Amino acid sequence: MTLADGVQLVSTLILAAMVIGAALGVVLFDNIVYSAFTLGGVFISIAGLYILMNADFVSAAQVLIYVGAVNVLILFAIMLVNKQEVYSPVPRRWIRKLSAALVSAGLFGLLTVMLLQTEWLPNAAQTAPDSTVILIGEHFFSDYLLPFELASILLLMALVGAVVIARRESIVGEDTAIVGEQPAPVLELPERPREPVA
Amino acid sequence: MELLYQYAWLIPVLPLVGAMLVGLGLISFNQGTNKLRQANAVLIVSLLGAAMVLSFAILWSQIHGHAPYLKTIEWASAGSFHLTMGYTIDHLTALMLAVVTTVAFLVMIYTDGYMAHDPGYVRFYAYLSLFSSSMLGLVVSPNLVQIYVFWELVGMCSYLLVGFWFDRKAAAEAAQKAFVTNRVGDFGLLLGILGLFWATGSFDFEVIGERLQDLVASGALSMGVAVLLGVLVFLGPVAKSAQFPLHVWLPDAMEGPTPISALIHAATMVAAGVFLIARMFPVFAGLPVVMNIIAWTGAFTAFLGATIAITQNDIKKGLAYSTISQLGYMVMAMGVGAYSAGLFHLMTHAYFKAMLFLGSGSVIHGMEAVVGHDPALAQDMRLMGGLRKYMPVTSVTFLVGCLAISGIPPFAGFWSKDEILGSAFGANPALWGVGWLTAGMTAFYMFRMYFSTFEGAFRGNQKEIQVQLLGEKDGKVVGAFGPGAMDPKELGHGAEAHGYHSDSPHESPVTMTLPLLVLAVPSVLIGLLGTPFNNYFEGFIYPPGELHPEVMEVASEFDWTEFAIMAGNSVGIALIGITLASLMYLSRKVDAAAIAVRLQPLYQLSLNKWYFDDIYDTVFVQGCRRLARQVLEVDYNVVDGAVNLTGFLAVVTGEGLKYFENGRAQFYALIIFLAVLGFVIVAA
Amino acid sequence: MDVANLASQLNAGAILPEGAVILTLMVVLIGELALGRASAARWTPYVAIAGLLLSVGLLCLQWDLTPTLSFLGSFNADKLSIVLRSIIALSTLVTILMSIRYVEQAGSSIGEFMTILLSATVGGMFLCGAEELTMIFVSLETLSIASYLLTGYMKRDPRSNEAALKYLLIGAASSAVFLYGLSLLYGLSGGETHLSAIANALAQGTNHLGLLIALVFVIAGISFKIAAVPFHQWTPDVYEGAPTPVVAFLSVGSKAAGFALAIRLLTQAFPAVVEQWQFIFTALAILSMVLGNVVAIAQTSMKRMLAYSSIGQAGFVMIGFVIGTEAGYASMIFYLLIYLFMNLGAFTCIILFALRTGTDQISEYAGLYQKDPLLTLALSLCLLSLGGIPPLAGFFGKIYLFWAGWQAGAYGLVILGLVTSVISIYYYIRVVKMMVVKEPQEMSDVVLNYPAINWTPLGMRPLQVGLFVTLIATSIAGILSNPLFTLVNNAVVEVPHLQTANAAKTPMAILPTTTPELPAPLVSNSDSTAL
Repeated sequence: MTLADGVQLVSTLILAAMVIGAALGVVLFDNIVYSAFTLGGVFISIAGLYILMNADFVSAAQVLIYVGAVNVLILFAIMLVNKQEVYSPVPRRWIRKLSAALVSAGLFGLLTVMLLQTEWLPNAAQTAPDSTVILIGEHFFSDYLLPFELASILLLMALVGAVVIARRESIVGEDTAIVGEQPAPVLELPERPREPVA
Repeated sequence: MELLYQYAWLIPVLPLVGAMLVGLGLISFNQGTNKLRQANAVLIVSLLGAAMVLSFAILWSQIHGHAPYLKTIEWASAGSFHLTMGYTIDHLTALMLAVVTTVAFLVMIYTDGYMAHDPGYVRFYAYLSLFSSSMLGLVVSPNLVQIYVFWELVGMCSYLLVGFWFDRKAAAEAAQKAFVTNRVGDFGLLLGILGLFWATGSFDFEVIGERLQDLVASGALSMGVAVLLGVLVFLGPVAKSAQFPLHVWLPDAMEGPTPISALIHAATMVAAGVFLIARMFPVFAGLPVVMNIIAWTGAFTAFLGATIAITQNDIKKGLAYSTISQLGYMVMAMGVGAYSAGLFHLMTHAYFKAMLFLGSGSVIHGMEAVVGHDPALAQDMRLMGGLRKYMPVTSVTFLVGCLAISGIPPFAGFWSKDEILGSAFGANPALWGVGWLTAGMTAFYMFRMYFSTFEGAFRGNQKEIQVQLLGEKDGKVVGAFGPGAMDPKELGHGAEAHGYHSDSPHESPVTMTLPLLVLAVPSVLIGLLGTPFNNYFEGFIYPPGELHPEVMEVASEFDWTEFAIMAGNSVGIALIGITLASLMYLSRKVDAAAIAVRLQPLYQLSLNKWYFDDIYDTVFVQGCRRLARQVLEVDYNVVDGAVNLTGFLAVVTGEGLKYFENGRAQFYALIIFLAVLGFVIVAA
Repeated sequence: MDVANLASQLNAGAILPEGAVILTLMVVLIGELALGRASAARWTPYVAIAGLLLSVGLLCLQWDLTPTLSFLGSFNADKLSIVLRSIIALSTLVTILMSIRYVEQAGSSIGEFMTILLSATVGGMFLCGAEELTMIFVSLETLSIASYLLTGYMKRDPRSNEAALKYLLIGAASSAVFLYGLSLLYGLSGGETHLSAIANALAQGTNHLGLLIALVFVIAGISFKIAAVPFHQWTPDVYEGAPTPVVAFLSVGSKAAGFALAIRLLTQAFPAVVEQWQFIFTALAILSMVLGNVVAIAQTSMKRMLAYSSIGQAGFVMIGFVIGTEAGYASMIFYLLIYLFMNLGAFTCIILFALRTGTDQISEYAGLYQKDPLLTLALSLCLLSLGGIPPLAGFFGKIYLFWAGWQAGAYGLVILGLVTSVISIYYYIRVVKMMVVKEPQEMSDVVLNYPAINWTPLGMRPLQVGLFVTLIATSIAGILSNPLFTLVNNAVVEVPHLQTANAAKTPMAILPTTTPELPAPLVSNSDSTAL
């Protein structure tokens, strides 16, 4: 084992531990702000794992997008809402916790067994490329052209959707002719609300 | 000529187009369409006229020996299962097409006069056109499935038309009765069709016939099963052609407007049963047991109908029972293997019975001017009499019809009925005996009808009879027995138009009398096509299994003596019947009431239609109600119990189900992961 | 790889239909921005309809072309994908017809609604032809995210918000599972993303457990889209809260896309574990048929009833998928095609009723026949067709499905299908009975106050057109099913992997090219019947 290998192994282990620890923190903290911050920790640790795999561009994108944008957005959302709410304990909460824990543990065990059993095929292109950016670019404009372009449609649509949901509604057309027996409330389903569930 | 056959599908489609156009118009622009009464009628009648011209062209080409034509398209197929739809043109089809289109055409012209003041005039035309289309479709069907489809369609049209005045209780009930009775028969037919397909793997008549015989001969299929299938198929004609024991719906169906009675319940739809037997002839011919059943059913029905018809006072009901009786003749002919004789009678009967019904409609129309629009009065023969003076055309044509149906030479009915009786004698003298007796009764009741309607003095203004009749009607609780012709609701404007309560009836307008006169021609002459010494008809229509030369050979072996004996017998009994009728109802030398009193049980049996309605009511209607109540009980106890049990379980597992109801997203996600886990474990 | 060479290899003509939809989407979006929202309602839907019609037309033109992979193997424009893409485009078309009035009455912007709906369509159409993992995932997400947005479109209605949020959360979870499955496939196959390459790479591998987990994860993602039990829980909430036209799209278009994905992905990438995925789908089919149909009985809201019934219907479709014969696939696509019209017809009717009365409770339909015979007729026919009453289209669809199942020996499934479809007939007929046979005095208050029928307000005409189109299709598609069935059969026969995936089973086309005269069944079976 060379020194480089040793360093790589150790850093992998450290990063993995960080990911798991931070992820547990996201789930287990009662305070939602702590959860959000530990989520940032998860993202950064994963970015570290990407670097170890020679994926420098992906790693940078991970930090930029997930930590810089997504996580900050989550924090903003938490602060803007800023509602101190005391959660009333749900009766028999332990049943849910237990079942969730069991299912998660089961999945974890299953995946672990699978990982250990599987003989992973080595990737054909083992040598690290000079620049991953160039490689990604080439792929985007050759064999991944269609998904890449489709993603732009996806983003456009998400943008429009976000605007639709976020904007303050100015009601168009005051002359909305009412066909039904009663004027339908604007921006609500024309059907009446369902009867309260007993 | 080929072009003619390629476009033969237009014959059923043309009336359908008319019905669709008018129907769409009625749905979309109800008032506008209803205003264009005559325009709609002209459209529909001319479309049917075009179909009639086509039919005659085809008949002409078939007579001149054109080969049968079959055109099918694959309609649905799945693997080895193929269903084809299309149309076939052979001699039988060509004949039926001509008969159906002419009668339908004349009835439609007649309708213009008869329904002139009815608010449902346009709707009536639409239904008529739809019916004609379905009937023509039935006639050209090349296989059993398609026949069944159109069979149901004509049935549906019949219910629509019987219940045309659906706001009248009697009409609605009659429609329901027709529906239920026909369901019984149709269910049998469907079972039979499916059974035959199971056994032979085909829906084609000839193929079924051949394979069925092979199967029976090779022992792969027991004779009993084959007979059962044959009888099941025969159930369809039993219901549709009003044969015993499913004949009860036809008299009640007279609640429909009279043109309907003429078209559907005399000339065409009821004959569809006979037509189906003719189509299935290759199948039935190989099953002697079934043939015997058919023959005896027919003979008994003929007798039954005639005995009931003797005592009917309602002119339309009398004719209805006479129709049942005549259909019995046809079925009997089929049963004894007299294929062409049965179809010959079908054709002649279609013309003269349509004419008789239209004539009765004309009489009712005229009577309504005197007694008003109450069917209990306008249709009762006890109020008529002496109408010959007022309605000369109607009376003459009616007389022609009576002579034809009674079998007086040279009128149409004589030749066809005589041929049937001759064949029956060859098969079984007992059958002939029944038929012969029935022929006498037929002559009796037809002339009873004629004399009490058209001869003697007019009784329509005798108030006491009216009161008595109205009393009788009210006394009858069951509305379904009440006859009817005109919607009482439109008394108001009907009165304005007719100025009713005039003292004497009047002759009907020309649109009504013209069809009568036209129909009188074939009623007199068409029988000459099938005279035993020169049988053109048999040369044209013969059983599918036989070859043309053979038929001609048999036909040419004509024995004058035999013919004279047979014909002499039937004419003789007919004359006896007529004489009796004239003694009783014309010169009143014999008192009918006295005979009725003397033969009280027989009289009551006939008057009450052999008590069939009462028996059916007790056995089936009440029985079904009882059964339904019990089923309801079971439903209440078992099914509701199960539902309650489910509710109980829900309460028990309430805690778990609450998650479902409250719709917690976390729980949903949990289920997804759990399911994933479970599937991996189970699959591995 | 130079540019000219690349361009020729792209074979970009294959995605012309999608291109037409994208272009329409752009026109609608930019046009609405440029011309203002007030006028948008008047023209955007029609532009969208024209675009979709163009797209369907282009798809028809592609029918006779030899199928080639385009975009270096990302997209497959074979006949199977053409049929499925047409189904999705048509479902959007009918959805637009019914949504104009609905969105207009709710007072929200129709242009943006169209934009999002069209992007969902693009996603669904691409999904039908996607041959490559990235493509599959991106198009699936396009469809899903658009669906979330559409679900929350009535944003002042708390039910709509709740539905959108739940849909988003569960959808994200299932997408994550699906993505995990895809990444496992990528890893197990040694870095392949094309489906056929993956199948080749997996054929020699011995990683049974890994493959199995990948399979189950992928199926979880697919089942979420087609709402198969137990991945169905989002449906009742989402169907209740989403705007009704969106529900219609989700229950038809989105579901068809899910089945398209299932056919392509499972048959092409998992030939090594055919037994397993057929087993899992059998379980899903059984659960869906039973639960969907049984729970639907208890519903009081029309939308919820249709939600559960659509779960049951998906169960029927899965029968065709599970048996893995050509006839099975053909009958499955045929049913989807029929289902498109009958279900959208039913939704058009309940939208019309909701717009006129403001309710979708089943009990409020009582006595509707007296007031609106057309609506009653249309809804009755669509529901009866869904229940499989002859001679409506649904009957033929079910017959073909069950027949294919029976041929393939899936007797248990077919019998269960028959039993559950009888159950379904019960709850469909209940609605019909409610509408038709109620006496005048038993009419519900809503129906008593039924407004005069008026087709003039904006968007009512398209609704009427949609009603008639679906009604006619539902009525005659069954009787004239043969051309449709030939079409579907051709689509299936020419796809190679549907045969190779099931080499073990005897393939049996429903329409054999040459059928000799029908043998008499009794004669051929005389040994077994032993008379």
